[in-house]
Amino acid sequence: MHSLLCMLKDTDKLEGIRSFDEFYSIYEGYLQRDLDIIFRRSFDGDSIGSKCPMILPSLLTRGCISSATPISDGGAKYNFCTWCLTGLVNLADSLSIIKQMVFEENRFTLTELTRFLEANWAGYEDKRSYIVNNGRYFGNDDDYADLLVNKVTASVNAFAEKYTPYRGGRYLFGTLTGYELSHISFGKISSASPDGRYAAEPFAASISSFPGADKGGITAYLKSAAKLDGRLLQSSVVVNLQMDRTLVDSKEKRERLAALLRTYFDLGGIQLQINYLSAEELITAKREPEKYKSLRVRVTGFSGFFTSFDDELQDEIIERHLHTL
Amino acid sequence: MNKGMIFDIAHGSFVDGPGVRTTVFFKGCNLRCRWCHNPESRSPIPQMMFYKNKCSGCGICKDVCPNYSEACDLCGICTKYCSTSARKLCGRMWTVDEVMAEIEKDVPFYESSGGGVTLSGGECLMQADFCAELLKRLKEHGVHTAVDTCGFVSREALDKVMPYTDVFLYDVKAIDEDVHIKCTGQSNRIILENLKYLDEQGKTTQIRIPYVPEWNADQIEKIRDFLSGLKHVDEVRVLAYHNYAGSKYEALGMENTLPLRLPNREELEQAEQILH
Repeated sequence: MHSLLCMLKDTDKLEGIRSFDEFYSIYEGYLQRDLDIIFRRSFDGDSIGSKCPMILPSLLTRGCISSATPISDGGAKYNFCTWCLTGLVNLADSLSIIKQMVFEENRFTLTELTRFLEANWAGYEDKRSYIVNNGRYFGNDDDYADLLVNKVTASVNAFAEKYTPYRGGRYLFGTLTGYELSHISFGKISSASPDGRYAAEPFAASISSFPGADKGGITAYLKSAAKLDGRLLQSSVVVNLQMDRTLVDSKEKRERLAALLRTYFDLGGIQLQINYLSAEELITAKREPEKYKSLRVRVTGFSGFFTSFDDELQDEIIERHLHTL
Repeated sequence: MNKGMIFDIAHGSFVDGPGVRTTVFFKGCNLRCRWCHNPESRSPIPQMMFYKNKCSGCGICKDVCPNYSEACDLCGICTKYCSTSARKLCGRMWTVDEVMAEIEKDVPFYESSGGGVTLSGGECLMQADFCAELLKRLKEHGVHTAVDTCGFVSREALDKVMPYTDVFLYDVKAIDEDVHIKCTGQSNRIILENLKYLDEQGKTTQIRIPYVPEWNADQIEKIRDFLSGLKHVDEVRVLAYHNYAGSKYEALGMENTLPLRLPNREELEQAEQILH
């Protein structure tokens, strides 16, 4: 994402671009420049790290004893060096918006887009609303946006092949944003992005859709997630699913959920984790409904969009969640 | 080619028949139930819904409207710009191909769960020709089909969809005709006859009884007695009345006629006991 935001700031280079393919190949140049810095720093960092070999973990890692070499010098049998691609979905969405709205629908130019982003959408709220309401986003079983994730990870992997980590082996990629919460901290220092994200807002946590953009429901989201190419994401992939706990409150419904998940893995899904909703999240959803358009909750004999309910009902559901915690 | 007036397609439903389902909501209904939770499904034409409490007052809708000085012509441009989704255009005409394209996305989920497609509404059988064509296509693809109906439809409409329908989700709201008229504005004679007819034809039905204390609490035993004469009832389910549709009435500019009193747990348990 950093590379894309840098590219969009070089307005003089944006003028002549006529097609998305041309745009993407120039973008790859920026990506390569950034990856080169990252890989070189990583190599230097690891070489400094090797001055203080980690003896105990090396003793416990396969290969280090037989090769008489610590982990930090490449003694382990499996020597991969892994990177997490934070903001991957925001990047794919941003590229999708650029492809759709700049090059296909001619709604605005790249230079205009840069102006929106620099203003952090202030004064261009109509443009942002239009993008968010009509853009083609990851998570809707729409190849247009979904396959852009694979396109980007393919580019990243292709460049990485030219580099060898200090410890040997090769660089692998994943989407894990773990307890360091890099999607929040990286978001904080990043300007607004073409997918409609405001400056300093968090990036999507791992493979989650843009807030409110997964309008196609749970089946479409799972199918999008199942399209991720596992060969390009050999490190951790995390797919988050938010669910209302009442969707699994009977044996019958749990069986349906099990069937849903079975299909996801049959389709090629790699990983999945389900978050049951907390009351806090529902409170946020009530306060910021535009981000929770797709949040479906089960009420009694039906489920519906949480944000479409009136205040009292929202409060009531929140109350209920407070009690189930 | 047939087109259908549809206002929503829900993916991954757990509550509209067996397994994981795709539910197609048709617009237009011929009953006016006092407790209706889908008031946007009543009118058979598109409607603009406006949720006043969501509106941020930004005025974009006014700026982008090509027709602002005149009456709304339901072009829907404002909904594309509204950042808070306060404006929503409800209902449009769909071709069978368009609906099939939406449904096909969910097909992998049907197999593992024993799910399929449910036509609901509104009253979907007010558009029986379209439903029959859609259901026929679904059966050609080997998809399980359910029709969720209030039963207040012609015999002809039922006959059109029957060959392609695996299960009918059939509403029974009251047995006494006067109660039914008070509740829904229409007699239940046709409804009960149609249910008997489906049963005679050997069609599987799942009966759904909305439980609304103010209106049909005294009907449960009579419904049980009526159902005991049927042979192909697969399941009887009580649906507890809820008043959550209030904001939709307001968004449609309709008078909110929802009953005030909600059923309590004892009442629901008692109804279940009577029926099972």
